[in-house]
Amino acid sequence: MRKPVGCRGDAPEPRNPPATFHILMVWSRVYPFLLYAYPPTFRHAFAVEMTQIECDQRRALEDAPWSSVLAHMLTVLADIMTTAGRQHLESANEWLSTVGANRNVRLVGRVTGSVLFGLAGIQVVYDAYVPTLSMGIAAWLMTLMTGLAGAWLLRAARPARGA
Amino acid sequence: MPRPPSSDAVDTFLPLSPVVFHILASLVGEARHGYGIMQDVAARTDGSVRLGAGTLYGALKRLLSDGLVEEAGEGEDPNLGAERRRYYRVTALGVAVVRADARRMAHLVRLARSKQLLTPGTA
Repeated sequence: MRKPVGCRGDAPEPRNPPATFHILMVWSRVYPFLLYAYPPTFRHAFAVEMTQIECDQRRALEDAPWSSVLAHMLTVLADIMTTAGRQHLESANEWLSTVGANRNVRLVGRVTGSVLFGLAGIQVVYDAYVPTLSMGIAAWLMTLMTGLAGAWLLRAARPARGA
Repeated sequence: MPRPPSSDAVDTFLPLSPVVFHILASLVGEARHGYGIMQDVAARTDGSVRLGAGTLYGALKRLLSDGLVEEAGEGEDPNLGAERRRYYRVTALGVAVVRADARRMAHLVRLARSKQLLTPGTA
């Protein structure tokens, strides 16, 4: 059986690789960069093991249809984004406690996320209500980024199910 | 002979989240590496609980710092090739905590049974 690129003992690329192989190859290149979403201490402790696990999972998906690989990628991406946000909040909490401040970073994250998400919502309503005053694609992109940042913060600041 | 953990020390960790319960239960009696824990949890729950690597290591980080889990050295998994992997095992405190949580849930099940909440047809 072929081994996906990025794992030890990689096999050469076959002559007519299926779509799954190409997607896995791209994913194996992207995955290490996604781990930079975590704080350095977490990455230092667990990045090697997480990469090993991803490699094992890719190996198990080699004969799966490309849609399964895509679903796996989206699941992993959502998992990394959520847990990386939580780890950053925990790191911020630890840092604050070392300097003697006992602020609830989770609450701050939740409030900031709500504000950002709310601002994006207001912008959408305003643009829909007064389309002639819309600032065009740049404003919509800004709105999208603000909304995504708000949603990410809100999700990260939720009470953790995992720990 | 090591003293068993006090009930006060155990109670501070209860109730466990489902993810933490599954991780600790998976490590009881056998040291496992990360992928081994993920596979074991998926197998024991018939695939209904699938841990992501980020979720697993986020929980493991907390469990390690709380002293419920400890590293058990590195080794190869014959089923997964020659790569060395870090193994984890549950501590005496971890066993006491997961046992206490299992007892807590068993008590809830008994309560649900006494109220006939678990009889067939009462979804």
